[in-house]
Amino acid sequence: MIFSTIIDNFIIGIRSAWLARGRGFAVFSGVLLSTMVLSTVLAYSSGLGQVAMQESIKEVLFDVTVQFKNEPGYKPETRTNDVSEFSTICDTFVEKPEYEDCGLMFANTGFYPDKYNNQWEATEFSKGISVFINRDESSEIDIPLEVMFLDDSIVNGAIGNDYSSKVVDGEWFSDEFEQTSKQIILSRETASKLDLGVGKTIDLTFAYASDIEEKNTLTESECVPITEGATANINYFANNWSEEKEFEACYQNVPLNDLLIIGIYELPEMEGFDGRDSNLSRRHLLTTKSIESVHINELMRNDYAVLGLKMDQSFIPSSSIDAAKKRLTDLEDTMQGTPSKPVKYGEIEIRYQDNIRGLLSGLTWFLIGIQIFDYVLMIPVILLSLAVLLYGLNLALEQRRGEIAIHRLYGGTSRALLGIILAEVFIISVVGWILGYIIGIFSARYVLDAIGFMEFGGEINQFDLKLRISIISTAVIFVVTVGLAMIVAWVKTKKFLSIEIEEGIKKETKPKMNKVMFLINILIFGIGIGAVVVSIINPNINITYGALYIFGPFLLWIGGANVLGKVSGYGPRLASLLLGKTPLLKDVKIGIRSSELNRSMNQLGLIVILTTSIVTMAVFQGYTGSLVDERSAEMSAGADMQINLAKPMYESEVKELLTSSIDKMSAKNTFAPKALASLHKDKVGIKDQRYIADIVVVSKNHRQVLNWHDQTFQQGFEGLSNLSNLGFTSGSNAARKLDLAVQSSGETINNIFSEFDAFERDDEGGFDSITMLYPSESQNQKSVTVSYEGGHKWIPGRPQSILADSVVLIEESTFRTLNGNEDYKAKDWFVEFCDEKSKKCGDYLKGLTSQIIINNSVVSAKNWQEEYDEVKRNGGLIFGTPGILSLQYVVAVFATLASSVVFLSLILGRRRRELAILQSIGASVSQLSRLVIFEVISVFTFSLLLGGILGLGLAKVFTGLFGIFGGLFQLVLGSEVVIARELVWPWTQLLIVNGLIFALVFLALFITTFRAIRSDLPTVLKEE
Amino acid sequence: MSVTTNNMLFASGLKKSFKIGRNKLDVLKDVEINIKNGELVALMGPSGSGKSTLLNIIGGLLKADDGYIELSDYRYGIDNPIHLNELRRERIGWIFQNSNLLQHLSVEDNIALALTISGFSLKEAQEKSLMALEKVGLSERVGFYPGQLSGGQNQRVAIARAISGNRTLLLADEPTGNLDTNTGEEIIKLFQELCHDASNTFSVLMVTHDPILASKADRILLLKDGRVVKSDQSGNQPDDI
Repeated sequence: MIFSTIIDNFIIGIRSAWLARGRGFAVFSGVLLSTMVLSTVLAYSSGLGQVAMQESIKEVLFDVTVQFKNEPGYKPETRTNDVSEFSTICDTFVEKPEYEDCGLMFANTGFYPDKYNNQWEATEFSKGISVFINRDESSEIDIPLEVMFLDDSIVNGAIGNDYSSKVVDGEWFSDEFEQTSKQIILSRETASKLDLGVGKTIDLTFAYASDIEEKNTLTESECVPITEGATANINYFANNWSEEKEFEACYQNVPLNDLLIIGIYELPEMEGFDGRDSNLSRRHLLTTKSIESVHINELMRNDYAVLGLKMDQSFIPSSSIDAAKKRLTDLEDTMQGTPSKPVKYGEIEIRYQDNIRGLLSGLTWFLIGIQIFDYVLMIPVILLSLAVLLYGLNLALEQRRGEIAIHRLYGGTSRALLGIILAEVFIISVVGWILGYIIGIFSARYVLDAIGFMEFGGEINQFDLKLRISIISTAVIFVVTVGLAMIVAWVKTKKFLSIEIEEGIKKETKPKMNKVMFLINILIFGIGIGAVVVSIINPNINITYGALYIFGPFLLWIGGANVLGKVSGYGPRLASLLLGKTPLLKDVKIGIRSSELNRSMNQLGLIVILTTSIVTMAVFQGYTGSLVDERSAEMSAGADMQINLAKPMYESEVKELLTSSIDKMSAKNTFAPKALASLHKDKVGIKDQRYIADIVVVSKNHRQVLNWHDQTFQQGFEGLSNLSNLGFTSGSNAARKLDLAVQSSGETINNIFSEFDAFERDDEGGFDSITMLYPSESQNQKSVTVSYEGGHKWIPGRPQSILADSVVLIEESTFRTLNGNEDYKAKDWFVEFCDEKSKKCGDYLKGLTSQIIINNSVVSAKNWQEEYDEVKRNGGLIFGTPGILSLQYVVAVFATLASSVVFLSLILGRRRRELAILQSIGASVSQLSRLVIFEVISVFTFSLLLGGILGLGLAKVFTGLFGIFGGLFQLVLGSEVVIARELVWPWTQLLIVNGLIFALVFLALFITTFRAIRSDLPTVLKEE
Repeated sequence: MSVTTNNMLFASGLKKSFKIGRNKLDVLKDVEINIKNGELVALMGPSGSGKSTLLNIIGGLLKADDGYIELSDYRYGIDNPIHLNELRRERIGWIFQNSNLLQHLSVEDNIALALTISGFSLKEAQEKSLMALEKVGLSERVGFYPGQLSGGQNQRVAIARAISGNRTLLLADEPTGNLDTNTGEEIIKLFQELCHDASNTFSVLMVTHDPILASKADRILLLKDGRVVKSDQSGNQPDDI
């Protein structure tokens, strides 16, 4: 019986849903929109994890490394000194389909976190094989040099193939392993510093620890060379701080002569579980053929053996980081066993270091941070779509009160009526839900692909994305959207059923104003306005202000929309007041209906304000975000191109280097360097201060070449201009040391991270000028007095504030006064080529950089385009923000249009009779159109205007939120200087966007009005 | 035959049919009527005989399939109603069974709107509204809203709206259908006064089912099977009813 009733209701519901499709559009579009937003956000979240995962594991060279579980001397049966026995472990691994390749190398001693009290001590005791290359320049190398000896199994396997793809100059080792004995491949960074290139022959001495003991335990007699030509010495090995013990080792120093440099390779560092570089990226590469077997055995005995493994990454689930981590953990447990039940290879127990999982663990927390921000950002648009659903549903059901009353009049039972309406709403909602769900999953790809506001890069296709939403999340979306629709329908219908039939038949009820709610909204709006004021004043942050930055945007938005929604009801009155005496409204002025009387119009006003404010905010923040990304790239690259040399050069030499690199390029269209500028680091003495200051000299063309920004200087561009007039700026540390008078810039920068607090002083006084002496330590010093022009935060191309903080910045003209007007060399050069934002220029810069970098004298080079790509790959300041803002914009525009069409159709549907009456008394089409259009458009325009103003406030107050999150992410990503998020106001774009919305709504209004006017007059006029 | 000096309205050869599914229903077959200046005419007939259809065609709310109507210097019939707003504005006043007043406007504004739509200035419209309300005996209800008035009062406001401006022909579709007998009689009395007022003469064509009310008309037209079958000049009820 109950079952057949449900079936009956369902069938009636389908029929009724189809017949009432116009009215049902409100429910449909509301459910569609809210489902689409929710599913896009959740699918985006899953996609974000996949993209981040695939992007990061791409550069991992050794997916897994295997060493002994136990250190030498402990449970010796679980270790071996036999190279071939250790190597056979590889066979067990590669038998499994998950592992593609495995090979042996000698790289560093084992890592034993179980033995030491903490990870840092374990790291301290895991030492590599150091190397000394017999060249004078080696003394200039400030990073430890190490070598690795690769076995045939690595050189000629899949790992070798990966390595060979990282060779930037020259080639990989010969296929014939025997021939590799005199070959070496150098790490690019150190090769440049040593001025070594492919084809050169070098001699080197590598050193490894053959015996490690507590300090003062080893004796000279025990430490002897094990091969002829080698030397041995006792030296410091490591400190065990927790036990306050120092260890020494007997080092075997083994010379290797006449090694031919066959290649230069470059590999990015990869931070693993233990914080160490799992890619072993800066080590020079040799093969085991280069050393005698006795040393191989000794390296083996002293724990330097490492098995490197490459996985078949298709076995790693790409659907989510959690799934990947679980799979990898299971695999690790299978291969390594658990602490209580280790897997044994013969008797050997291994320590399995999964570098991919290590990477993913770090990534998870980073992604969680990003997702929190993105979810926060999506709150308004989720609420907006739910508001469209609620109001649309409310309006659609309101139309049915008469119908319900009539049904009851003819004896329809409450239960039957409720069943029919719920079935109708359910069917319409489910159709909207399915469509919204599909569109949502589909559009997540585009959200991920956004590299700027409404700018899509198409780079997403390189990833294997399986955008999906878990069953639980799907159920949540269903409950929130369809469930909400059903609950509202149920409550509303119950309400209609509870009122008297006679009252129900009445066409329209007077809206009841909930005064308490309105007062709450005013209060919320007031707090939101407070947040705007705070973001304008920009005081030093504290808990109250921080809370205002975080909650203020939402309070402003919700409270503002509700309060201003009421105000927008005065639109028709305003229009009547302004245009009442003009021919436009003269004849229909009396008929213009105040929307205060019209609940539907008020709801339209509210939706328009909600959407316009979101659109405005999205446009402003979107453009601002894109600009901040560009500025971050500008700050990092410093110019179109930055070249860091191993040795200082004159400008003419750098030009030659550029010309030769350009000549080698195969590109047809090339750009000639327009201008060069350099950063020259030097030291000057300061008169009367007994202080040697580090200076950076910017060469004369710097304004043309370097990417300066007014945020760089405490006094903005004025500070920069005064550099050419014997002025200088100072980093915060240098300012303190030089006891400089700090001049307030008078203009605070709108970001908590970007203020020049470091330059503030408690006491008055200090110097306004200083006298520099050059050379810093000499009898024949020249001097120049320079005036202080305020602080600087960074130097182009040097985003790390640690450098900028400690230096004084002067211009070439000032430096020439000091050095006797002589030309000088510099290591860091910057080049202006072309408009870096054009694709042609960007491609050219990338091509030229890869050509220049091969040059031996170049340590590193970077360009704007690649830096910008990097910023975009990291999602700019906040990953995914451009996509989220673009989504907000699209959803808000769609919401405006959908709600306009729905509301106008419903409003005009309800007003058909009014229009028919007007026609019966002689109103022309023009008069009717003017009456309706002015009435609706006045509410719409007024709402648009109010929404725009609210949006400006939102954009302003959201800047605080963006500032906090953006600053944190920049710091996490390693930049010590944060680009302030100064709001850009793209008025033209805003006018275009809102103009477009206005035009589309006008079109919708025109169509719906015309449809209403064309109703069958006799029928409508006869209606009761 | 055409509009004579004495004839306010003349309609000839009016035909109208409706398609209902695959069937075609001929409602008006060849209707010819005339109404004189100052004449109160009742249109009667069984349900579905086409009374309202005829009224709607004459009132410019519905187009005929064939035929024509001459009203003052207007000639129409098969024109789209959307283009006949000038006719409705200048010549015809409508009174429906339900008053069809705009609920959100006051009594005065309901009338004034019709006048401003007709081209009167706001001031003129307000003056003429008061005059019209005075004529229907509601000058004391100027600021009231339709919801605050009785059914009869609302109908009087509708009549005031219909007679405002320069309109000369009132079309009333069952104007007393929602009213009690006494109030209905008052409305008919008002029609009689309007028709017989020498200073400002109106003609009224009224659809009614009530033979008593119809008997108070100057003339009764009987519509049957899509044709006017009888026209009683004396105002007595035709035998067929």
